[in-house]
Amino acid sequence: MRSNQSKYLLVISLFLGAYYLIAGIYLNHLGYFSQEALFYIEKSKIVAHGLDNKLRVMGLTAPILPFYSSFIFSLTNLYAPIIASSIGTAMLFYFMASTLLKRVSDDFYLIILLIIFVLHPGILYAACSGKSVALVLVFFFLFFFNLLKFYRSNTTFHVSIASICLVILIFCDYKFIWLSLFFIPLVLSITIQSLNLSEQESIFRLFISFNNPSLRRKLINKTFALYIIIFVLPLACVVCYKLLNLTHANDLNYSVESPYATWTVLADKLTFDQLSTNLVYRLPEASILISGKMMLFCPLILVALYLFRNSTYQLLTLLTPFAFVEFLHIKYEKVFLPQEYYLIFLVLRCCVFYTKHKH
Amino acid sequence: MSIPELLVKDGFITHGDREKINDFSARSGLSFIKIALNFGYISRKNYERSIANAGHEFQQIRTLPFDADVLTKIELKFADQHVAMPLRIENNRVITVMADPSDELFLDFIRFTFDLEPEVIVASDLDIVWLSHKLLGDPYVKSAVFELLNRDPANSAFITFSSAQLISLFLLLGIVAIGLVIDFKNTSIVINVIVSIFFLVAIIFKLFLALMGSRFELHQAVTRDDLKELVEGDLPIYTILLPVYKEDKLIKKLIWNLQALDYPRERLDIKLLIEEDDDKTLNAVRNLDFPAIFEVIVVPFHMPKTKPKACNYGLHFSRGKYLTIYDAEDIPDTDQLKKVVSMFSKLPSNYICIQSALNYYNRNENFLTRMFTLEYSYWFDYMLPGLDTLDIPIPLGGTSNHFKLENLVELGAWDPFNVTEDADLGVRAYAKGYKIAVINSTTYEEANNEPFNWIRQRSRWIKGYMQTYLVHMRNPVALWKKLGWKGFLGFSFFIGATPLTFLVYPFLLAIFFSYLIFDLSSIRTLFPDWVLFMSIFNLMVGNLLMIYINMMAVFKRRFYELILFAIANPIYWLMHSAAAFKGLYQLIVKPFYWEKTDHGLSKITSPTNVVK
Repeated sequence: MRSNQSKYLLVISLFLGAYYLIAGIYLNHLGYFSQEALFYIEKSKIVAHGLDNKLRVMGLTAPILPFYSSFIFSLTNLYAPIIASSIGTAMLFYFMASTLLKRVSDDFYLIILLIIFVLHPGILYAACSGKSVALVLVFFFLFFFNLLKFYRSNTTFHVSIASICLVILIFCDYKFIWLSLFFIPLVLSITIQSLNLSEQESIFRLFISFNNPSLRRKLINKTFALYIIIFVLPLACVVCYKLLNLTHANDLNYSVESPYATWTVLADKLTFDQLSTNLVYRLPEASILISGKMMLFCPLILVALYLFRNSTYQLLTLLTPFAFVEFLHIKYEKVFLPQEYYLIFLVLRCCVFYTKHKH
Repeated sequence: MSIPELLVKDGFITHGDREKINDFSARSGLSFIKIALNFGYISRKNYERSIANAGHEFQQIRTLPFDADVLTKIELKFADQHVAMPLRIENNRVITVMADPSDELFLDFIRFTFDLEPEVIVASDLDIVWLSHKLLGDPYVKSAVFELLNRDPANSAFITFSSAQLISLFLLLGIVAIGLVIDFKNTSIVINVIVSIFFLVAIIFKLFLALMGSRFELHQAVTRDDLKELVEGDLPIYTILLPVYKEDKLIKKLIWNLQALDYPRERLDIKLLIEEDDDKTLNAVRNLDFPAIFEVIVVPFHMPKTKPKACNYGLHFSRGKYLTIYDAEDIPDTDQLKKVVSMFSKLPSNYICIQSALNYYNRNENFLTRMFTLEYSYWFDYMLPGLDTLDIPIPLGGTSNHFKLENLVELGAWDPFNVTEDADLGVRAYAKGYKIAVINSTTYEEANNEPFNWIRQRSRWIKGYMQTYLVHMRNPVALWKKLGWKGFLGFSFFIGATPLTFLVYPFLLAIFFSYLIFDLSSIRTLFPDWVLFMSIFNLMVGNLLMIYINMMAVFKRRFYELILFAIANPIYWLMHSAAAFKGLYQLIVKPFYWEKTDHGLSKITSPTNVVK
């Protein structure tokens, strides 16, 4: 029965992939192209036929993993980024649907999920544009899903898989490294939750554990350990990558800042020009309003918040991406917030529904 | 008055005890005194007091003259069961040493065999055991040493390098040397690339295994409910072998640890294997002022003086259905034996061994014990379950591996010429189609806390890995066929690659540092851009992943305070390298030499986290 289901899913995912691909190619014929996809095509051409330092292009083009995924298909044709992104989105569907089927026997939810994947404009954009959004969503989903699973199972396996997913996520979009900043209170909250205390209310648990030397030591040790287990791998990988930048391009930040290495430098400049010349926008990008917009585009996240109302640390987990997005807006204030940061909430609330479902 | 009556009269045992001993004696064939002294009824000190009250005195018998013809009339096992033996005939009387001069059965045996009256010399049971094994144990010790060599010479480490291996080795060295002379740069680059790829694959494989292992960390092979289903009366006899050498300081600790075991006392068959020249341990047992629950077996002198030889010798006297080995300082989880019995009953019959996890109770003592704990946590909690899941041969840990006795004997038991006989046995079992399982029970050991002692121990392990690899790679094709490709690759990566990586590691580190410090341009030429990219990736990602796996393991064990020590792993590996070179040197010069590890150095006396 189960193997049958996964076969069905595979077939549906394949159809979905084909649908995205056709839509993407059609859009391309209508004249749509994304800057990111063009960048990947160009870099692939350089590696295949160019005269530049190929090793540097291969190793230091950022974001590296979306580039590699498109590079695999570039040997055959120019739609490589679109093929990569449509396969990526179909994969996302497969992962989400198979986790859904493991938990829910009702096909209704699967149909809802399928409708979202067929019609949601955001998802369609991710799939057809040839951008890295699809991969970002896949690993964002896996990261949060494993993290939420860890809350339940308390196994090192889930937390280390989450950490590995975060590494991949960072190499799909460097800005996700800032997530680590917002996890500090969350990790503390998880630790407090996992201490063996009779008191149930989080704030009092915190109070008790701060005022007892033995518990305090345990709390600090465990918080620190958990933080290390989640973030040492991504942080260290970034350091390693920077060192590779240094040895091969004589610049620590080559892959993040050089227009030769990443497409965002030029793209951001373009959007900056747009922002500074056009004055009127229908939806202004002001700090708090960003979160409001997220909820507007993805109202089900409110339900997710409601479902987690009883546990501080799970609520904090959901709020972390909000804080992260607000932070990005402040840090990169002169540019639009890319579309993928809206879509992560769509994925996030699916994670919550899955983990909340008991069966 | 007979000795049992005397003991009751002196108040050292009760009437109830006497009944129990008599019952047990009738069932097992062991004599009264053997049971009383070895199953925790009476201490040797008290027995000596009782004997003195009765007007006897223990004589020194070790140097007494004996007659070889008289000795041929008695079997060692019978002498051992009755703690008595005839020595010679003098004045028409058989001079007989006995621990219990009232053992009528043995006295009758003397009368019937020699048709003469015995003249009894009362002696300490330990001295009689010592003497009987020394005088009668020769065939057993010969079998312990040569059994595997005679029966299955292809699997014995008696020969370290086969001719084909030597030829291949020197051929390879020759090709490399010629390559270096003809084209130094390209040959170095090729070597460089091979080493880099090898390291990368090994590390990624280890990460994969660790993840596989961690996936099952909540899986309980044996649950509490399973244990409740066991019926005490149906439990089989369980042999525990305790090979010791000069461990006098640990004997008392050992007794407490054994007494904590949750298993019916009469169904335990605990053998303390003491070497013939080890008077220190023997005297420590003699001086115990509380009852011991183990039986002493003295292993007669024979080269090589190794732990597997002692275990093979002990095997001849083992009565159990299952058998396990502990070190003297080990503290097993109290329900470990029952868990194993329960698990064996659930597993298919081709599972012949169950390995428990090992960990350390003195982990916070110093840097070395912390590093050791990190390593063991990762090895036993992640790697072994990972190997188990993927059905790859498990290199058994030195202790706490539980065997089915009959299959162990069928396999030819341990190889006395191999200094990591356990790892070797694991591979041999797989090659014969048997399987090994991992159980959710831990034995806490004493981590080595002294660097030179550590290097000695580790050099033996690494030498043993080299030996094991050489033995089984005498015919790689046959091994491939027996183990399958997964088993073969797993074996090569774990047993073969481990010593190799430690041997290569310091050289790579030296190249890296000389490049950093001296900026030698000649080194740069050996690293074209893409090799440099790969090497730097290896250096950083490889170290990072290994450190991360160690962190995961201690995180799982909830030893949060150790997590940062994982970063010190590169230094710890340097110590491994030192041990690896020592091991390599010994492999060539004295392959069977057993580097003794000193135990009892730890100052931690009250282990924490032991009983769950």
